[in-house]
Amino acid sequence: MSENSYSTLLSFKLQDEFFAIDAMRVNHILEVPEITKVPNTPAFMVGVLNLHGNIIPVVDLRLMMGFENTALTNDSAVVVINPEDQHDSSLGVIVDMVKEVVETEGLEIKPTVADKEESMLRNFHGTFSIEDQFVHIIDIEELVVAAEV
Amino acid sequence: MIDKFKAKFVEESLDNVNDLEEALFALENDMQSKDLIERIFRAMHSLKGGGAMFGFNHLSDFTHHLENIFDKVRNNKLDVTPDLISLTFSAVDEIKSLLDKGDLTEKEDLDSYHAFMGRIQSFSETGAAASVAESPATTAPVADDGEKTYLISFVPKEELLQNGTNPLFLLDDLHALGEGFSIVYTHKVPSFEPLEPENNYCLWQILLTTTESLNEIKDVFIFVEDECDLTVEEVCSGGFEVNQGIKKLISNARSANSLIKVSDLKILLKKDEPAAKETEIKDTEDKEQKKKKAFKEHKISSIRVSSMKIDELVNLVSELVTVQAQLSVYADKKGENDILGLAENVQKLSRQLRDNAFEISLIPMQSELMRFQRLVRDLSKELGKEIDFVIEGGDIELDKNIIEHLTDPLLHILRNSVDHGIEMPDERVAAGKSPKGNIYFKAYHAGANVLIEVTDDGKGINVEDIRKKAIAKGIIDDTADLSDKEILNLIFTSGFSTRETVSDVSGRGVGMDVVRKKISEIRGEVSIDSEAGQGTTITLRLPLTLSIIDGLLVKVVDNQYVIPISSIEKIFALNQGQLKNSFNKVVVIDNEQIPYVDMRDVFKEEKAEMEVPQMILVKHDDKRLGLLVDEVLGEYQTVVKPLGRYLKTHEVVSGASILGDGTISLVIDTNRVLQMNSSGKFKGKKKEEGTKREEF
Repeated sequence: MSENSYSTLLSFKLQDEFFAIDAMRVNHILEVPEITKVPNTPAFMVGVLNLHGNIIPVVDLRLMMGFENTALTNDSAVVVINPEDQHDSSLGVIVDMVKEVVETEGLEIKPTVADKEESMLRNFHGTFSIEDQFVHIIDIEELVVAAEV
Repeated sequence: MIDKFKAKFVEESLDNVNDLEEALFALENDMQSKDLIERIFRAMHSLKGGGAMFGFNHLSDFTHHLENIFDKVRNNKLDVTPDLISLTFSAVDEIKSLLDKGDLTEKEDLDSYHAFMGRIQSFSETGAAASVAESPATTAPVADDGEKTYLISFVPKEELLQNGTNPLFLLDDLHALGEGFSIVYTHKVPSFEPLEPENNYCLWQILLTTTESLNEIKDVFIFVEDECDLTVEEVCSGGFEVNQGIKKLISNARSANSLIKVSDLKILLKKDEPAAKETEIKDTEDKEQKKKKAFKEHKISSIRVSSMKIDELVNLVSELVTVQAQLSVYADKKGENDILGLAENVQKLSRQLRDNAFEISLIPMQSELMRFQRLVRDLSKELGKEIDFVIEGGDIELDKNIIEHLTDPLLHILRNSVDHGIEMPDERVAAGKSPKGNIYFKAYHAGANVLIEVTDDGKGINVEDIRKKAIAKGIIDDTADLSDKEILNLIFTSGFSTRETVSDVSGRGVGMDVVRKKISEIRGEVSIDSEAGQGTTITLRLPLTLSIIDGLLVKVVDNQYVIPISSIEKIFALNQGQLKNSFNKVVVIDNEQIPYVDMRDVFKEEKAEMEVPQMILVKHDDKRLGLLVDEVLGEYQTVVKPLGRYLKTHEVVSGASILGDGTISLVIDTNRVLQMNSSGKFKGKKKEEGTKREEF
């Protein structure tokens, strides 16, 4: 668990579990648009999409987290994050469903117990529970490093 | 080159002067402000320093004295008074004119300069404006500078044009000598029937005021002496004005089918003498005004803009080009004339805008060359070598992003040349060379590329040594059959050049793999050529601009890709038979064996039988390779966008471009495909794929 530099989180669903990222780092939430495949890349790198003339790489967070079902539904979305205020670091992340924006104030955030072997992400900023659901806070730094091909 | 620096200095100094003026205005309202005085002092100080450095000695001297005054003000030895401020304001004007003229040579300028200087010195001593009302030189009569007016009658023969003479150029030459007024007579032009189109029927008279001698004027006509009748007669001293009298003279002469007589003109201009004087004064006033105007124009002829803004402009323009392409697609689909017309106009405009914006982002390499010179100079001194460093083509312009990426690799290359290429003087003498080494830096255009060559006449590279080293390092097989050039290019392979190989091979190639990487990041290529004992040439091939390419749109399975046209040599349509019969992935076309790769293999796509496979022959250096694709869709000019940091290191794809309909197609880096193919990466790919997955 690390210091909370953020006050709002965006939570979303991957398969049956909930995760959250710093909402201030989220630039767009899109319905899954047409994504151009980039050959010779790992499976989690879905391709690139055109967002207002910018090329944004898209990763499937479900695959990165070790989930297997990658089917898209009506709820599937691409969350475009901009981790470093730099133009070239924008990244699209496919999730199964975007849930809500949560204020961290008053939340009790506990250390995450992560034991999913297959996941590329191991460090979480903590876990809180809301409406009887555990929500794990993703470390964007780690996500960015893991997404670099 | 020093002129460029001067121009830059003047540009920057004008900024300083502006700042100075601004601060003065502010000081006028707040005479006690220490900050403002400091600011003024600083501005003067940089003017002084820069002036001396760039040979503006008068400027430097002048500002030095001015600075003295403000030094006193700064140290509370002198109060800021309205007198001081107005003196400084007029001093600012003097500074501007010094910047404009450089060091003064004209006597009148010098007089006024020294007079002003006197005022400043006495002010700095007494703290009061000296009562020298105005510099005497400004009211002194304008000296007779030996100007004379001539009447030149130029009556060419009819055959004049037949040896290629253009009489108008002669007139231009004349006008270059001074103030001139040409009168053309066309009365000899015949009616249409007998007119010979290749003959000349015109004649001219020119009134010219110049300081040049009679012979100088006649020299203009030296090559047509035999084809014309020429008279040059002096009319009067001083200038002339084309007034009513002269106009009347001209029209009289024209209607009488004759020329102006010099005697008539003399009478006319004599009568006009006082008027002429007046015009002369007016002329000088005009000149003053012109000078001032030129000065003002100089001030705004270039502006400095932050490079961020230019980047943004280029980005926006790129986006506009993309949107415009979408509009064109839409218009085509609708087929309405109105919108088609509009789309066409938008296309034209955005194309112009694009060219313009890209031109703005081009800067001459000059700015970086200084660093190279310093490096060569300092390093050669340090190593005790003598080196002549010659730069050619410093005015070649490149995208500023390219130049930014270029500096480090070039410094690296030059350092290698100085350090490892050029031998010590005694070694050179022993090798029968002059003790002084030479490094040539040459930049020039070649098609859509800019080439930069760095050549030294040093000891060169021994190919055999490189080969042995490469085998020892396991980079190539000892059975590998490589040309000398290919072997030389091995030094760009990563893992080849490490410090120790450098010292025992031929002393070159520290981090040459880094150089190649950096250059390929800006879509450039680097190659090397060397002969042992003779020297080494490293050539960089760079694109003019990073963001726009002409591309060929192709289809591989269901995806569209762009291949830069610059790397394509030919496109062939093959039939399945040619491929089936081909052994070891070589296809024979026009009796030439051409190796090929199936892009579906490169991209690890499912293979189905291609109906008519298209082979795109790409080349790089002397290597050629055919790329098999399913379909060729057409030629497009596209904006290449980076893939972002996540895909930056992709092995085959170097960027992406957005098509008219908004979809993305990836840009294939053919050089990398070539490289990968020659290093055998596509063979036995199944296995490699397996290991690859694990890496991620």
